[in-house]
Amino acid sequence: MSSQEHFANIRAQESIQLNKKILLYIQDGTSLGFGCGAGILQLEGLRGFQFFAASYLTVVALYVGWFCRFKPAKYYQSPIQEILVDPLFRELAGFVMAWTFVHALVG
Amino acid sequence: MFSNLLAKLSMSAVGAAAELTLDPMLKYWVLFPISIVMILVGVCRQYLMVYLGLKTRTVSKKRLTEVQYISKAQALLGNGTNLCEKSFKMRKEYLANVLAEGRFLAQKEASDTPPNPLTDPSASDAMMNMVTSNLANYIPQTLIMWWVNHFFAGFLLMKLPFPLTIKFKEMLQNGIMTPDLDPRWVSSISWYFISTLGLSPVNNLLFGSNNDESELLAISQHQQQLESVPGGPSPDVMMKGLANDITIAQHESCFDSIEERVLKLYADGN
Repeated sequence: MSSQEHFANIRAQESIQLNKKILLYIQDGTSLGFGCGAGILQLEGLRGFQFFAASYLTVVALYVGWFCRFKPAKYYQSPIQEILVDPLFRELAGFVMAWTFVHALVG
Repeated sequence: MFSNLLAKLSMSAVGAAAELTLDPMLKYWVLFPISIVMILVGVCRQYLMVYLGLKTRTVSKKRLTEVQYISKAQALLGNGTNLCEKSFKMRKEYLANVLAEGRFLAQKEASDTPPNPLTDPSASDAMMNMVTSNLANYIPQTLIMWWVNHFFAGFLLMKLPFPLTIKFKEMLQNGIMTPDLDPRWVSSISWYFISTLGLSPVNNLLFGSNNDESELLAISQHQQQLESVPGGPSPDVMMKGLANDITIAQHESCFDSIEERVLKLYADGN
C-alpha cells in the first residue's frame, strides 16, 4: 500500500471500537429478547434454532439498513466477518440461555 | 381384548417416560437462585477487577525517561507525516542522535546475568497481577460448581427445549439413576453450564453502558509498557533499532496531493 492510499484510508481506532460496541450491544439485547420470545412461544428443537437464525438475520439486515444506511463497508473493515460471523456463537449461547430459562419457567 | 390392553399399557408407559411432572417450586427454589448467584458473581468480579486494577505502581524516573523516549521515537515514525519538512528533520536528527548514543538508558551497562524474575519487584508485581486475574476467574467458577453440585444434586430440574445426543446424559443427568431417561431432562448442573456459556451478553447489557472496562484496559496497558517484560527486547536494542529506522525515514507530508484525495472523496458521493 502506498502512502497516498494510506492517507485516503485513515480509520480512527476509537470509531472502530465504538461501532463494534454498538453492534454488540444491539445483538446482545435482541438475542436475549428473542430467546425469551422463543421460550414464551414454547418452541422446541429445530424450530427454536430456526427462530434464532431468522431473528439474527433480521436484526443484522435491519442494522445494516438502519444504522449503516446500506453501507457497512464504510463503518467496518470486513463487514461480513465482523457483523455476521464473529458474534454468532456468543449470540447463540445467549439465545439458548434465555430460551431454556423462559421455557422452563413458562412450561 | 388382551392385546388391546397390552398396547394401551405400553403406550401409557411410553407416555409416562416421555412426560415427567416436575414440582413447580423447583423453578423458584433452584432455577432462580442459581441464576441470581451467577449474575451477582459476575457483578462482584467486575468490581473486584476495577478495585485490583486501580493500583498505581511507581517507576523510577530514569526508567520513565527511557520508555518515553522510545515512545517518542515511535510517535515520530508513526505520525511524522503531520509535521512540516523542517520540524520533522529537526526531530529526526535529534532523536537519531540521542537514541544511537543511548543517553537516556536506565541501565548503561547490561548485567551479564539476566535478572531473576522472582526477586525483581516489578516483574513479581506483574506476575502477581496475572495470578490474581486468573484466580478471579477460576475461584468463583469452581465455587459455584461445587455449590450447585452440593446443594442441588440428585433431582431433575427442567426439560431442555432442544434434543441432545445420548453422550450428554452422563454429564447433565449426573446423580440420577435412570438409564433410559431422555437426555433432554437435565439436572441443575446443566443450567449452570448453559448460563456460564450465555452470561456474557447479559454482562454486556449490565455493564456495557459505562466505559470503565476499556479505560481500565488502557491504563493497565500503559502500565505494562512501563514494566519491562521478562524475555522481551531490552531497551538498548530497541533504541538502536529505532535510531536506525529514524535515520532512514523519509519525510512525506500528509498534505501532498491532498486536492486529488479531497476531490476523489466527494466525487464518490460518500
